[in-house]
Amino acid sequence: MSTYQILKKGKVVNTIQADAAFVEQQYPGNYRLVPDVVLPVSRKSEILAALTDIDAQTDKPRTHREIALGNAKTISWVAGLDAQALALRTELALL
Amino acid sequence: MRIISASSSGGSVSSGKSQQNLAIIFPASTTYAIPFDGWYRLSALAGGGSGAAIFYTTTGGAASGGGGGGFGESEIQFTAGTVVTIVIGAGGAAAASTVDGTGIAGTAGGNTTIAATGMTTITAVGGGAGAFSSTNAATAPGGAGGTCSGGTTVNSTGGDGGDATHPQNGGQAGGGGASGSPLGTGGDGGACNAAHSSGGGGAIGGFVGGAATGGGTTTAGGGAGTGGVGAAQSGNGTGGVNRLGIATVADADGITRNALTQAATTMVYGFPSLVDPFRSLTGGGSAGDASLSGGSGAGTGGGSSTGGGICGGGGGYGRASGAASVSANLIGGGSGGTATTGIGPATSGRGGNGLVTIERIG
Repeated sequence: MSTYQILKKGKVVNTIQADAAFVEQQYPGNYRLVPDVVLPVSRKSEILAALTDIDAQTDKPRTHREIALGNAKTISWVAGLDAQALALRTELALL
Repeated sequence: MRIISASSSGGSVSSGKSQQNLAIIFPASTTYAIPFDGWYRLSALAGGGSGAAIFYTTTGGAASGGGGGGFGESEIQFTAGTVVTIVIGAGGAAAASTVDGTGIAGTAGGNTTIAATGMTTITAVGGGAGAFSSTNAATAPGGAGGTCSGGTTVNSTGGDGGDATHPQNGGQAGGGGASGSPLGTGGDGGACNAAHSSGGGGAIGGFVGGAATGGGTTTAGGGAGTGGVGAAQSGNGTGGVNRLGIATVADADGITRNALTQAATTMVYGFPSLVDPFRSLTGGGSAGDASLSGGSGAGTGGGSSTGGGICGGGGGYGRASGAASVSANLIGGGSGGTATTGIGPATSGRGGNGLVTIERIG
């Protein structure tokens, strides 16, 4: 038994418990399987993922260029992300 | 006099002209061919909505509970061979807040329908999703209870999820609403408005989960019972009484059914009777912060990581520290919200899945 979203004109109109044979018979071609929710397994992996995301956002050529040009908005945005990264690193060190 | 023996559906309590079987339970969508001419009771329960989740280490946040699923029932005369199409609504998916300061709304439960030639389709609508907020003094409204239409004897709405108000700092989590039932509208989940507070889950029959109203310390409302509301107070509230008016989570037959694993003193979740199962739900609510689910049809107290059981609402889970995670609801009820100011994550339980029963009654 799995969870399926039932579609009508591309929009989800219901979410049901069923098997593949039932949804194909009742809603041919108008359904999609909902994957099992993968809940977070550890805070450590979440922190590492969050830091990776911050690195990806801040390490772009355009970001470096705008900082070099003194773009206050970009500098402020990066400073905010740096603060988040610092908090995450501190938390990671305590785990 | 004609005595009819047990049918393919299992046990029989037949005598005279009619045959009355145990209810056949359908936890997944399917088609079912009516085996004999006769009268049948068809019961449809929708999926419960899931509560929201938020972890926010600086200010905390509020996460409301999911609404209970709608419930409907018809008594229909069928001829043998009639094909009944059963669609089972899924419980709303669990919400997981894994990024500090980013709340995640719950998900609405799916709709359950029963359709066949010669009857009006019963459509039980899933409970609504819980919401979140980290704004001071703002209230995240609980998910609305699902409605029902098409039932010839019962059309009951689920209880609303408990609202969660964010006073300033702290984690607040509303309880889940109970499903509708033959006893009428489901009870709402308990609300919360204090720092680190958790509302209790509602019970069938309109009994409301206890609100968490205290300030400064962790508070948790009691889960509602099938005979009374959950206690609302600034400490940990007591659970509502069972259908007999007794302060216990046990059902009316004296048996406690609120565990996932059989134990010496506790049986696993279930219906007290497979004859007219939805009218046999008679359990009491569990107390706040008791790490114990309510009995059948009853709500779970706030502050418990155990989910709601059969048709009862799950408790909210608001915490000042650490991760906050609640197990899934089982059948029909809305799950409570989850909130923490700790390191997270915060994860609400899944809403209870829908269910259909078909029972030959004559």
